[in-house]
Amino acid sequence: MHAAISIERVSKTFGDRPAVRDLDLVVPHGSICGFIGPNGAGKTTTLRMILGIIAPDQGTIRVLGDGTAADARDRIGYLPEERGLYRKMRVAAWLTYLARLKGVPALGMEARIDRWLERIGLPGVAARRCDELSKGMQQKVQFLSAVMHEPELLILDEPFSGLDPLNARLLEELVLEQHAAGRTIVLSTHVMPHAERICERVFMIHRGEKVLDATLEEVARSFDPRTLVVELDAEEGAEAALRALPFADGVVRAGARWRLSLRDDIAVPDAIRQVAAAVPLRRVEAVRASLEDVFLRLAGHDPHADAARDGGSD
Amino acid sequence: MAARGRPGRAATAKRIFIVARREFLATVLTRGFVVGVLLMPTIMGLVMAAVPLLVRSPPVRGEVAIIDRTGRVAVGAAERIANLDRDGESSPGARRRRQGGAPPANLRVVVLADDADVEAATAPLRQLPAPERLALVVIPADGLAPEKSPDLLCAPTLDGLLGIAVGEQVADAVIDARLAERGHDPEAMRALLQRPKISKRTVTASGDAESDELAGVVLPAAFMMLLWIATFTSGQFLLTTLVEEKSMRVMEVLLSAVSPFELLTGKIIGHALVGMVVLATYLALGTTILVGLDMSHMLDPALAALLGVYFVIAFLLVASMMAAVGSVVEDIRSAQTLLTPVMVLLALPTVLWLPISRNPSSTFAIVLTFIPPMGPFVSVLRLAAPDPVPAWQVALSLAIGVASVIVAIWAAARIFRIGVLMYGKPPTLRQMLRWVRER
Repeated sequence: MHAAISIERVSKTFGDRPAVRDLDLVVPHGSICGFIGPNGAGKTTTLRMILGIIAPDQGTIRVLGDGTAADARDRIGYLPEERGLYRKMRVAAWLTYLARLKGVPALGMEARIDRWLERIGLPGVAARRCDELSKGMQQKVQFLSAVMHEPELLILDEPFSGLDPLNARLLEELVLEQHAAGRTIVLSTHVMPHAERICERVFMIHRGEKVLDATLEEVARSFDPRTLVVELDAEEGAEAALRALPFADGVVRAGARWRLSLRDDIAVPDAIRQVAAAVPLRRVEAVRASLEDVFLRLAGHDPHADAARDGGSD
Repeated sequence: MAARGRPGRAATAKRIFIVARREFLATVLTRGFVVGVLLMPTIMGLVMAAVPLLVRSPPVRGEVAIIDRTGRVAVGAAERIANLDRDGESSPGARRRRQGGAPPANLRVVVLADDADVEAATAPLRQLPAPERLALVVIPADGLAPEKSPDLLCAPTLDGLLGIAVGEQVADAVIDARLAERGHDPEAMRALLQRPKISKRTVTASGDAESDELAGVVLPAAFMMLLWIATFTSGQFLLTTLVEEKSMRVMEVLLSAVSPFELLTGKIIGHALVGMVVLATYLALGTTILVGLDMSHMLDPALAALLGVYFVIAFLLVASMMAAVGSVVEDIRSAQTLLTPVMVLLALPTVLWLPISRNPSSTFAIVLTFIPPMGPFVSVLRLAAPDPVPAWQVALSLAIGVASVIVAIWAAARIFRIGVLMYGKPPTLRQMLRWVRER
């Protein structure tokens, strides 16, 4: 599978602050990739460089072939994090303006707009002014302006921010629909469950450097379940018994549950057997590392310490 | 999936056109523009054009009676009064009276007996509601003596200015009678007494030009102000849209569809067209006023064409500055702070218009002609003055103007490219200059 985006040794510095350092990245054609990273990690800078809005200080970026994004502008859809609408403009006029700039012929524009508005659950708003729409409605219109010209590559920067769960779910569906139609999708997000549900592949940058680049399967394999969640029948003496287990790297109480981090030298089934022997068990489960856990671990947070802070006792 | 080809110059031109079209329409179709920029001057122009029509009233019909106790004035006076509007509405005399405000007249003159009773002849003037007799002229027996004056008794309904016009005709008839009494031909005497009209000309190296205070001082200022209004109105609109786009976070969405160069160029072209609409509107208004005042001879098509050329140069200079500043700020107040030094420079020609137009060939005026961004304004000021500007100076000022436009657009594009995606504290002028120099 050839690459929709290929980034080689790209760096970008603002003043004396490096935003992206020596980044290599390949986004396979037709894939749906999550771009994660903490605030200020360099995600938006990377996306802007991919789009040719800002130029890298060094390195090369190829988009949809051998050229840059400037050569393929009409074939790319972009929903920036900083997104707005002309307040006084009618919805149809805004969508027409963006679509015309992206090379969509004027003929049939009205029908195209009506069809898309219907699809995103906003029938009949074409003639309304943008400032008459709710924030959620505006975000859907913004999404439309990124996809209405049917791009080959869709780049979405924090597409779910500010959406209620219902609209977030609708947007997820729309993104998956675009993927099913063969489009390559790159989305940056802070909402890990979204990335987990939608993406085939994730890459993460932290302090301008790539720290993760793998499929979700690979992430699951690399970050093996090393945590047991335990529910007990009787609490008395349980904490001491759990802490006494030789393979327990950390014991954290989270509400009615206990979380045990396992040392690397013990197999999960063995650990479960030993826990069952040590305390009166109601339920035990080996939990898979969530993308959020991976994120927090790579970004330098200890999830267990966070859980302890949130309500458990150590 | 839409498959579209690689963009070339045609695609770039098309995107620039789409941006320019939107900028133009989004500006000229706003209520503020239509009312403030187009409607007000248009209404003013229409009113000025319509005033002569509005004040035009039907001819005053009625009777003027004359009691001429000398027996020498009545015939001449009757003829003059009856012919007040003989030459019709377009005659210079009639037009002067229109400008003076007097209505046209269609008066019948009745010459009463030399010894008619004044009291009896006055009675019809008091007739209600509208007397047929509007005025009674009484010329006393010694009315030809220089110290004597005829009486003019008017009905209350007679237009005051028309009354004065009737009085003037009677006075002229008295003078004619005096001249005839002494054996002179009144027509010949009047021709001899005609005051000559002095033709004042300014002598210059390149030839003579008619000199006129209005043409010399007021017209250049009017042309320069025209350039100012058109340039700054459209420049201000450009600045406002840029600041709005930044504050509404539309900029990045647009930059995903067009390059900064395409966006900047489209915006500048769109607002240049806005400026041309303003220029054309005010030029049309000025023309209407000059035609209305019978001064259309002062309009010079070549000057109007040069005004257009200087507008393009001045607008592009101002637009580049507005674009550079508009791209780095998020509110108009910050923009004004950054623009203040440049605005002071640009305001110089408006402050110095009087010395420049009174002495357009002074070294000071010539030097200012070549200094951007004031050059176009000073050039227009000098070109509209009666003193001809040497062709080489016009050519040099245009060349410097074009060169400075290229530099300004280049610098603005560099600032725009960096500033347009920056939010937060606006940069200083020094930082902006550094962006221009950065590779």
